Amino acid sequence: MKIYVDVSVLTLATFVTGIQRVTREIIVRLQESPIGEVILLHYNAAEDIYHRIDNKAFRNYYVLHQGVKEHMITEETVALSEIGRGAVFFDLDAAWMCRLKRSWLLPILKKQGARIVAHIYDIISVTHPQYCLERGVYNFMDYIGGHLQYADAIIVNAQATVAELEKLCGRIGCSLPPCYVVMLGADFKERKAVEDHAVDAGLVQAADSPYLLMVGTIEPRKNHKLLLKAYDYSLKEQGYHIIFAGYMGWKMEKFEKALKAHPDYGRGVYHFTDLKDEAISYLYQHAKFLVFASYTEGFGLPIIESIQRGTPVLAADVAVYREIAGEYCILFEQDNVQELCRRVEEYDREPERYALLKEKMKEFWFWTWDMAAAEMEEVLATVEKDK
Amino acid sequence: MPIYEQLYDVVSGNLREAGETFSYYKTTFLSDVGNAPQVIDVSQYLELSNEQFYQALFVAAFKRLPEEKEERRWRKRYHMPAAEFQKKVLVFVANASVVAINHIRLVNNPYFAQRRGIRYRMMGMLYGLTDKSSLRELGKKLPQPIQRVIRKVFL
Repeated sequence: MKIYVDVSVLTLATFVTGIQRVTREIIVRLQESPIGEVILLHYNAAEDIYHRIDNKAFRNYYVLHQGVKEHMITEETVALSEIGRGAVFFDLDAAWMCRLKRSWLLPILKKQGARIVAHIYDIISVTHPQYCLERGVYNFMDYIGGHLQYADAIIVNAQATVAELEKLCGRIGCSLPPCYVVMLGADFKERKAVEDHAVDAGLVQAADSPYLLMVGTIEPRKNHKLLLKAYDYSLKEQGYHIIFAGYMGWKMEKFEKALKAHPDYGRGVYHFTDLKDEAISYLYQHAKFLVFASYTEGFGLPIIESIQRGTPVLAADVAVYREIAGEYCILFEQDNVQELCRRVEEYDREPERYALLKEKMKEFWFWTWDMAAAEMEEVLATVEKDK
Repeated sequence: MPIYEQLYDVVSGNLREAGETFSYYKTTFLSDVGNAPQVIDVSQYLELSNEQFYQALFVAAFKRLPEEKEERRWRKRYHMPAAEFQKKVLVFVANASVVAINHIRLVNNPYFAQRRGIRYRMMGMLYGLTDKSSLRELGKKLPQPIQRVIRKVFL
């Protein structure tokens, strides 16, 4: 079987986080699998053609951190007519950002007899477009519309997303292709403790008092404002700092202004960007809690990463978090500042309960990237067999 | 097509419920769906109102909404006769660097034949030079106003 994967967005990305990270992790495993030949594609908009990516160079760049990214893209072109019977087109990357519209591409591939599998991370652009950039929403409508009509299978990361897709299909009058839930993996390697001298002095100072941490791009859906409100409500009185680690994203001008104008900015309320893995690890390592207050998520990988690092998680009570790690998180009602603060206070009052929670987190059974890739391979094989 | 129409209604409805409006018109989306990457079939757009025509053509060519300043300039011309207005928009699109860089062809254009001369080819070559992640990384370090100009020209 030939598996075609369009990785144009990954190859253009300057940071490998989120979807690009998933794409990388799955591809390097698919390449080693006996399931078939993996053909990685880069779309060149000027030539309107796919160029093949050298598998070895891809691996060298993304796994061994060797080589130059541009050199992965070869002169060899892949005509769409090649992607027909016996081939699976696996849309794994954030392809709605690619100039090659799925509403145009997928019917062509389908007509040629190719099987189509899409990895749908979430449909937040449809269910909660107010939290997304309009341009992304616009492109995503084309992408999801194409896959709902032409995909032979859809991979999602949580049952909650299947439920959202079912609801959407009911509303737009189409039948949902077979869906397979495959959880995302997490790095399983043992992490060494990061010493104070290994990070910036500003971080050490911020982490000097007990603190609550939020990690990830600051965007409306992540609800960072809740933690700032909680700080003013009682966290400050309780002796806590709050730390936001992540880039300031879109539609956050008002929040950024409020954050920087806060009287405790830099003295209890901190914001760090451009942090390296080591610095992020340091922050996780010393945090009393990770706060995950998002209104909606496709999966919520930081929750898993926090549990893995032994940092207890305070998460908003959202279906997907219950599904992936509900019993290992402390859930609070969405947007309820008082409840969030009360939870912190409870665990402060009962340190043995906090210790028990940390102990319980050691039992969490992590889904690895190897497992995730193996399950996705099974889906690809099933789809190919069913033709 | 009915699926896309329904999808648009769901998304714009969800935005409305959240107190926002979707800046993309339904006509923009529906005329854009299913189009080949380097082709704009002008005949699909001719029945649109001037306002819708401008937005739909702009999005088809530039893959983004016009900025407020750009739109304001064109808004003054919405009262023009359709044929005159459409021709002006098409000339503007045909001369844009983005169109040249991405080798976009305007087909079934009743107003004029698109010239794809030296400039068009040279800009296409320029894409080869700019489609580099190292340059993109460098670009991200430039001041915001310069980044905005680069985005407008190349992305």
